[in-house]
Amino acid sequence: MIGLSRPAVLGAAAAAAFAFLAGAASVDGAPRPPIARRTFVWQLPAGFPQPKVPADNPMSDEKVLLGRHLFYDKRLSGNGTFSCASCHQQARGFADTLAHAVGSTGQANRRNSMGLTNVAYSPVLTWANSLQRALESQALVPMFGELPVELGLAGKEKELIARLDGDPRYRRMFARAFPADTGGISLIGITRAIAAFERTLVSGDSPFDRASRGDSAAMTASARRGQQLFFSERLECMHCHGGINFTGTTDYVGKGFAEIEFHNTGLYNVDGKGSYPAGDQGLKDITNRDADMGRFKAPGLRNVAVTAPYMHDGSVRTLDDVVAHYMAGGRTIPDGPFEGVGSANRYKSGFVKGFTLSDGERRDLVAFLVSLTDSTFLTNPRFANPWPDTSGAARGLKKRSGSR
Amino acid sequence: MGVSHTTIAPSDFRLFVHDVSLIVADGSVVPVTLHDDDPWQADGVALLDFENGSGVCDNGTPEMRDSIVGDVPLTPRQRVTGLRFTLGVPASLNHHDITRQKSPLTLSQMFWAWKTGHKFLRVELSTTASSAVIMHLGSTACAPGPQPGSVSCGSPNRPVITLDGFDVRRDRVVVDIGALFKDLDLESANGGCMSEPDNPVCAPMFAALGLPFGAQTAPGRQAVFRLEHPGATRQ
Repeated sequence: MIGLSRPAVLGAAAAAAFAFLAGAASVDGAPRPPIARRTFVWQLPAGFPQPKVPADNPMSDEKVLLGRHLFYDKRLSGNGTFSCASCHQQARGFADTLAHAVGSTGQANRRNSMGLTNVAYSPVLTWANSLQRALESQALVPMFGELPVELGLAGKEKELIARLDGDPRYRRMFARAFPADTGGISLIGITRAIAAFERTLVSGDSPFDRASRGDSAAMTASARRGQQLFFSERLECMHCHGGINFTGTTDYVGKGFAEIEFHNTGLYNVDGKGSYPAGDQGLKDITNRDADMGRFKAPGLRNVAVTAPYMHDGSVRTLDDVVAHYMAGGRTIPDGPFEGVGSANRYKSGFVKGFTLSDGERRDLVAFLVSLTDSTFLTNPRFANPWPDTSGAARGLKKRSGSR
Repeated sequence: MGVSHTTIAPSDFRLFVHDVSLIVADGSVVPVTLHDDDPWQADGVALLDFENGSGVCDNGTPEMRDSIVGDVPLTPRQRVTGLRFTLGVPASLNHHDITRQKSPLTLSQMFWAWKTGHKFLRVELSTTASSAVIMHLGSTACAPGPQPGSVSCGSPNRPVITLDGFDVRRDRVVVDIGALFKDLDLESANGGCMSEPDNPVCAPMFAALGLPFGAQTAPGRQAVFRLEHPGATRQ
């Protein structure tokens, strides 16, 4: 069952559960009762709540399978060189290792690729955009964004559809994923299938999770000490990195209230008046409110050890450097264009107050963060590239000379 | 074009309009009901498209459009004296998933996925000094509104254009990108303007459109749209 919080959602779930596959006939030619479409079954870790799903995009195995093929397909870029997976790599918690993401045409993004671990639980998407509420519409940003170019598909909608329509595998997968839709391959189908696949990317088998389920040997003693520090009022980490995914920005079925938070953590203070560097000032870039200067979403911390470098702009290299940032209650940049004392940022969150740790405690805190690495998730074949060749199924895409 | 009289090559030129109406002699305003005319018009919004998808415009679409089609219930006694329309996409249609919208609101190049709103006006050109100068007009300073799923924007940036002396049988409307960029130095436009509230490059184009910008108040009249008789120019 899918999304039981509202009657409208309940209706959609019922429709999905009782849709029928057409065309079945018994051996003797008499009509056979239609086969009920399988109800989608979430494969969630023990104790995990069910992700919310938009009423107009119920989950199905067929849709997830299609979305997985699209996610890994380089035909989803203007020049056939990039897929979603180019920047969202499974082994890296569906992030990458660059400070700034680089798109299909080589243009650098101002931001660090966000990991997609447990993205289904996030009621607001990307680093700092209070308007971006659904994976379906968020997918349009990398596909069609022009400043910067990511997948580089702006103005190429028809070309994209034609590319996919030329592959009988996609015609089959779309028909199965959207059985009620006779219109063939569509943009709305593409974004819905990718969103459905992304919602299955649930991680909950880290040493921390196994210890929580009673396997006391799963975490090291150092990581357990780090856990105590993480959840202490002395450090205040959990105020912004609490909940099932270690972020305050969380929602799921039965939660009652979606919670959305943005915080300024004192990473910059370029003018002594709280400014972040021009070109990326967080939520202020959307709302143009001074109070939103430097406010970003606290990312979830699951698999954080494999997603370095850190922060919205990849400007912090290691987890130990991240801890140093919060120990100081903000970052001081002594010289250069971004010179400034971040701890004195007037817009800084009240929870970023600074604290002292012994060297041993500092190692323990990092060990706790490392214990959130879920190797089952990072290697799960359910989430891996489904295409037989490693080129990401760019086959059949003719390169147009001079096209970007 | 511009204060340095720069030679330019236009590479994109598209805009949305809505709330089209005629003003009649007694001062009353008679709304024009825009036809649903796929792919150019739907839900009262019309796309005008002056690029042909070839040459320097090859990122665009081959189809072009220089007219708006609709009905207006005029009586024989009502004499039309003016034309009024709003540049852009109305707020009620501006912040949705474009894969669920009707054409022309499906165009990815006329949408800011990042800001979840449409580009009301997209003009791009190249100069010898700079590879691209762009002018993308759209709503900014946006935040989730009071109703679930709604968005309200502090700077809607939808200029209402009123053109007096409209002869409904003869006149046509000119959209003059020379007037749009008249007070900008295209030699130092630094990439142009995406309606960013803190980008000083935007100021002259906003003034030309009759819009306020930052501390700069809205000028009395816009300069980009004017009426023209076929064969003779008039203001």
